[in-house]
Amino acid sequence: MTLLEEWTPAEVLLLTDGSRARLRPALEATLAHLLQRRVLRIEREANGEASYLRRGDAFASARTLRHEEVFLGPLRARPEVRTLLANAVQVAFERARSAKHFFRLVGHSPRLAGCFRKGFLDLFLAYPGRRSARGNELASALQRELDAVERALAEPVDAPQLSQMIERYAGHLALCGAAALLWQGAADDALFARAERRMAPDTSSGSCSGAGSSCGGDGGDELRQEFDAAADAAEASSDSGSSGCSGEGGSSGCSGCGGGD
Amino acid sequence: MSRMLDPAAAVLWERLLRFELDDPSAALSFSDRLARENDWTKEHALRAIAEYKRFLLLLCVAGHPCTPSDAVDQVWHLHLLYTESYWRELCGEVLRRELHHGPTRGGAAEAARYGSAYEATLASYRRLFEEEPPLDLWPPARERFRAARFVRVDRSRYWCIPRFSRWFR
Repeated sequence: MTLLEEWTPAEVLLLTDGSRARLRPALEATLAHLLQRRVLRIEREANGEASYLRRGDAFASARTLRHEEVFLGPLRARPEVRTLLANAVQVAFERARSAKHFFRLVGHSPRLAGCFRKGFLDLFLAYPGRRSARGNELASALQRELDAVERALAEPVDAPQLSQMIERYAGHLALCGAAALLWQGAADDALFARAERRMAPDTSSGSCSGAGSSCGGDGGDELRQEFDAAADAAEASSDSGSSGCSGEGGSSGCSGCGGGD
Repeated sequence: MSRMLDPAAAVLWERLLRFELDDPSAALSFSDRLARENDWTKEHALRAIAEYKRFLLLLCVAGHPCTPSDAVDQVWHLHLLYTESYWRELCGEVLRRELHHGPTRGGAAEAARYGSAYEATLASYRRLFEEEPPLDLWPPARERFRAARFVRVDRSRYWCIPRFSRWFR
């Protein structure tokens, strides 16, 4: 098993990029990784107008990390809850608060223990500070694996190979500039396990290649657009948008309201 | 979900769960607006919407007048502004009955009536959903009906600073 298969994408980002690690790709990769592990799943309405995030088969049994709670927390309270993907992404940004806060949560992972120096000087550096020797060693190994995935994506690959890569590295593809692949097949309940089936038409037409390419169903593109739109909204000022109404407007204020019986 | 629900109520609950107040294509969705107008987080707004759906089920199956918490009432108020969603989709297709919102007419008798209806609503909530209503969204009656004075404030023009007594809560 490779390191990439053991580590979460956010841990990889923190270790390889340090204080330069960005929130948006970290959240996108974290969501994809949770989908890949079937902790979460995406459910699409039959009319294709809305995508919902809800608990996956492995939700109760999966071992999850603190930073993954930005997506998992809202779904813990009640099993019946399903959340519009766009809302789930916005809530994740809200719970993450900032890149600094999110990566501090990531830093609680036991895998990162001893990866950063804790000297006096490090108190004055931006989180997470300087890597230790162990951190450098692991960062190099992870970077080599990421480069290998990136090289493999740049080559023409057939559908089964691509499917296998998605199965193994889905959460990490965003880190290789192949975020579009993350969402491929995401419209299905079983998500990446069914990527192979969804890509069946491409098997006959040859192969698809290139990081960031999206062969197969267009559902993946739509999901990615939903993620991006929600991320844009979350990153934008909360004061945008007016409260205008069309038609007759009204206002009411009451203390204590009752409904019918 | 509760085992107390009869089959018809279970079907209704399923319809309520699938009923979506947010328009996925809107730049400012219902929950965005709810959060903004109440100074809530998006997550809190979504939780309030989930409690609103529970309240709607209570209204239909509890068998007594029900009164919402203030948070749930805010969801209801805003939903009433979205007339197509409220009347056509919620009342017409999901609940399949008219559901009117009745503001208090004021006075001690009304206060007592709403107070007891609220207590009954909390009791029905516990019975039907087999769990405690979340305190932050369904506070005790004493807190729910405490004296309050709400006004609209344009926060681009005014600061809101808590009173001194609120700092030590």
